[in-house]
Amino acid sequence: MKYLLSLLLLCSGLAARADFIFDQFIAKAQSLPYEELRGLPLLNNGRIKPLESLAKETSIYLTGSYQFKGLHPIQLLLGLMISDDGENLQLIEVRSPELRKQLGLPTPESRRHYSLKELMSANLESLASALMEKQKVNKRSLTEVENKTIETYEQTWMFQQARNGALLLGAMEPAQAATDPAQTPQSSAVVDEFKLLMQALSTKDSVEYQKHAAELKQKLNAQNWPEPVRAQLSNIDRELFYQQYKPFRWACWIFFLFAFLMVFPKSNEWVFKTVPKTISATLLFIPLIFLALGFYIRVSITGFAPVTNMYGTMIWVALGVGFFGWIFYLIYRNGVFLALTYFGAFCLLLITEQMPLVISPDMDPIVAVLRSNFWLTIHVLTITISYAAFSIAMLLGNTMIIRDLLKRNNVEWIKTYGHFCYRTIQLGVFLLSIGIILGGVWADYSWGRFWGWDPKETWALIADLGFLILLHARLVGWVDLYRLLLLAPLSYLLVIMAWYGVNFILATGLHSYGFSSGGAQIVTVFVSVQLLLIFGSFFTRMLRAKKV
Amino acid sequence: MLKKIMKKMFYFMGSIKLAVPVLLILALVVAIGTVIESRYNAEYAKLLIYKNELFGALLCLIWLNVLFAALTRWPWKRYHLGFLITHLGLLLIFGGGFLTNNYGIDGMLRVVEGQSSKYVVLQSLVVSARSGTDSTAIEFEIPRYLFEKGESTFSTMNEGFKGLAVVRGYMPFADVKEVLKASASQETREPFEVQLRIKSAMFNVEQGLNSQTQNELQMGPALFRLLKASDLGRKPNSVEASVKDTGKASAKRTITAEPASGHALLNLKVGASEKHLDVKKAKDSTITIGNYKVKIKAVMSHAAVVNNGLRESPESKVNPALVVEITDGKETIKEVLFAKFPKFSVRKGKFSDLELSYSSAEVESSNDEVASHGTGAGANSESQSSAMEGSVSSSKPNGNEVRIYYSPTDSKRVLIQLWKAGKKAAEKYLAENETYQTPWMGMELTALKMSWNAEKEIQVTPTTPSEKMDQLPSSAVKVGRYDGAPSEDVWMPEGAERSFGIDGKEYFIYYGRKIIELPFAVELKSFSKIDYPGTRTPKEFESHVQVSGQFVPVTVSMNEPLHFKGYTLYQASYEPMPDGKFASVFSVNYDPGRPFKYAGGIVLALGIILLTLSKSRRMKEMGFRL
Repeated sequence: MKYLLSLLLLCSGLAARADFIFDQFIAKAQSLPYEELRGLPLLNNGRIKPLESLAKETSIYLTGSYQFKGLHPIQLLLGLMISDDGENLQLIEVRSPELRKQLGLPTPESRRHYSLKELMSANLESLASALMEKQKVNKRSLTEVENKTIETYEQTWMFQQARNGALLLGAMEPAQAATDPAQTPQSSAVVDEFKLLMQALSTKDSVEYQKHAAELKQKLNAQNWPEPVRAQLSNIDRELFYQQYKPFRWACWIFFLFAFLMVFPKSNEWVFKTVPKTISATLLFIPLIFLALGFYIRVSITGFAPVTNMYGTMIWVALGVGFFGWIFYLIYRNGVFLALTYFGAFCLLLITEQMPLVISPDMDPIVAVLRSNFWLTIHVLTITISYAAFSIAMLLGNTMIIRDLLKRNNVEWIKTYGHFCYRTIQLGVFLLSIGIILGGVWADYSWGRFWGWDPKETWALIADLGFLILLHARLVGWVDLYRLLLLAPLSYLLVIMAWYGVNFILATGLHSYGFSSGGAQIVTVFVSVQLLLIFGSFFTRMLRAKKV
Repeated sequence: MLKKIMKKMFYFMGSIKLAVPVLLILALVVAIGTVIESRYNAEYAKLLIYKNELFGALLCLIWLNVLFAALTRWPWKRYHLGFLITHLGLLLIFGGGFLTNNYGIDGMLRVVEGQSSKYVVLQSLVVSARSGTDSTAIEFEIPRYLFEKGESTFSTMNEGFKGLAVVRGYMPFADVKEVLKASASQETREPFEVQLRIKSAMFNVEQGLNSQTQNELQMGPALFRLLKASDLGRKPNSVEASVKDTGKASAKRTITAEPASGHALLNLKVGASEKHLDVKKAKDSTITIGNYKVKIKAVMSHAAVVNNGLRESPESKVNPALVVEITDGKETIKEVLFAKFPKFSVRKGKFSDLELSYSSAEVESSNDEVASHGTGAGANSESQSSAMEGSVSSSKPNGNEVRIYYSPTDSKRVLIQLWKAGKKAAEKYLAENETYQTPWMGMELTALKMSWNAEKEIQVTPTTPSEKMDQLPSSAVKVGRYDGAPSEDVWMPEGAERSFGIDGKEYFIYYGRKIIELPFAVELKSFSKIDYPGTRTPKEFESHVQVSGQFVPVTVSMNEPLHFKGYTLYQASYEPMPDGKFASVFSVNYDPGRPFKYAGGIVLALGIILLTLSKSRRMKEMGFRL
């Protein structure tokens, strides 16, 4: 009994100690100044980026959040470096619940963050290194948990790098970083300056800090960066602006605001009557300006059309959806249609904002085969803008379905919006077909074959066929406008497969640059709800027809 | 009546009633194809779906449907224009695809820097047979069947091979394994092989170590090495004592620097003339061959790179090397020859018609191996270059090592020693089926089988493709002598060659990828690769090639192919070579369907534009207001 009691005491004591260390760390890190350091130019992952970006990427990777416990990511990085008790800090996020169970990590279930010590004593290293051997033999043979195990191990590695300063110093010393990224660089002007800065931080000497921060920035700017990336120094301020003011987030919420305003017939009518056309059109264009601005900054930083990963294409589709909606509004002055498209753009942007780990927003360099701006621009932009048209068709279809389920449909509505839907599908098929042909030409030009049944091309074709069949069926009168609206969301599932599924679920083929994982649950929920809605609408309509 | 049916058929073939289900089937089938590609691999999906004859028939049906759809609209009206152009575009694209598939060439060409090649490896499989004196081979293509086939499938082929060979069977998926040849004699002749089971909390594997083909193996944190001891009873680890005694170590140097016994030959070859020079007798001597004079500058038996120079280093593993000087009267260059690494060269392709190699008895059977290893671990390793990985891996400091000693005089057991950071931790003798419970993380070692005279033989057994493999298992054909009994037939996996004699003549049979010769040779002058700074992600890579018959070298890079004589060369990938050079891999392609596909693409795009525009006009005509 006595033994048990003392054990209990010991345990609670340990837990309390961990909490204490953690709170102490947070308090200490929160007091660290960082404003002056945001724009330090650093070389990381093949490009020069501001410390702000590097810190954000590190923070999200380690902790799963940009603002871990309210810490600015730079505070987190600096705090880790001056903390004496780093290995006891519970801030490495173990993202897989199965892995947490497998490693026998301390409960409660809801806990996601663990300290380096906890992970190391849970034998993560031996587990991961065996898996990495397996990965070397056959990359594709790993299960999801196994991949997460390696990821978690890499997180611990990154944590150690961040803690011992190798991450930052390596990014400051291009010559040494190039030869061996794992080594902490030896003494140099920049490294010495950084050490002085860290000293000033730990002694809380704000005068010294200001002085060394300014000098470090100056020395980094004068640093002998390798030739291909030197020109990127001039992008630092722009990227900092992008990171600080988040144009996409602004666009996201302005879209929502306008969608909300325009969806009510009364407010819609009021705008229609009182506000002159030019003014309303200009106002409604504002979110598109924010989007275009963010897009422009990404182009100017990477030097390429930013549609090389999921994040880029989603932003581009949001831009397309919003733009199409705006044009249609100018032509037809239809507030509901505008509200719908803006709501769609809002949803897309919200997803990109909310899931940075799945849909990575970083702007890291692209693989060699994509380095053809001409083809990248015309092929990928055309294909993805067609997704925007299909998204609008899907939104129209779903609006009809919901109205139908609420018994608020009438023939007039279906006729008007059915034709909108037909036109957008036509537009989408037109763009997607052209995009596929262009893709064939690029593939022929760079791989030597026009068509090779690669999953990405195949699914683009399937999506095209899905809508093409709808158009043909409409042409011969097999489907009326109601069925067209009903089936558009069904065909849209093919677009989701081509867009998301190939990269995230099939994850195979030559278009391997955009591959990733995650988000499967959300998409599964979306697909199931969508199917339920479609069949729900179909059957209730059948039942009602029987009653009559 | 018949006319009526024909007419009905004609309209049905061009109807949308046919188009919609056929397109749905196509969508479904190719969707399944992508799932197969994800679960297995692209090759399997191609075999099962895209290269399947039924799939070809489906595409034909769609082509006819598109054609008839246009024909049944006859007489064409003006508003048919968009529709007609679209369908013409589709016909052209599909037609082009058909031409590519049937008459196109798509293969891979691999060239090493400084060399040239004109041989393209294609996807298709062939069986070829030729007699030793005749260089022209009789060749037959074999489709990659998915099912087993018997002799009847190959009757035409066997007719062609008459008098040479006979193909009696086909195995779609073969598991190709090297197995120990059953030997009747109990001689303790090398090679020696021991089959081990290594078991711990983390792994449980069975692995063989063979004194000739594989004597080292990295398993998790430990390196397993099979070493020969002249006498196990004398305990080879007794050498350990000499590690600290530098006097003894240097004494050993004087012994081992001299090749102990057997031959040590420098082999030279220019064209047809060949010379061999006994290195022991000919130190500092010069030999003349062709236009060249070759002088031996240094002879080493434990060569290692120390401080960027090649030195004799007795602490290292046996690594016989020769430094020679070659001169053709105008230019003098240095060359290093390693008996263990015959491909290594420092002359950068110079004097390429002179072939040099060094063969030393030390490599084949080194009795001194044990001693040199005993002093090996923990010593010089930092400065060794990666060009000689073989000697680097053996002397990792702080590495865990499991040494397994075998001896011809004590043939029924092995001695297992555990070494940590250059120090012996524990040891135990093991006979067959005995287990050693090591003090290391609960690791358990079992000697499953020990075999002397363990020569390998290729064994082919049927298998099925498994999921998530990068490649499909190889196929195999059963080939026999023309006049031989079926029981003497041999299964040949892809890439295999076998020879046999009939009436005193030798015949060669090859099964594998079809190889064609280009009408020109491609010489890879140089290869360059630029990584993104601080990463290992290549930003761009390009090959500078010279095509025979052309004066100016050209650069081939990603997105910048080379067109020549109807062929197109694309930069596909690259391979780093052990000597620091690169091999560039080009995708070579000859595509007679290309003009049709491009024309079709343009026509189709035009048609779609017209169609989209004309539709809207018609809608307005119908009095529709949006």
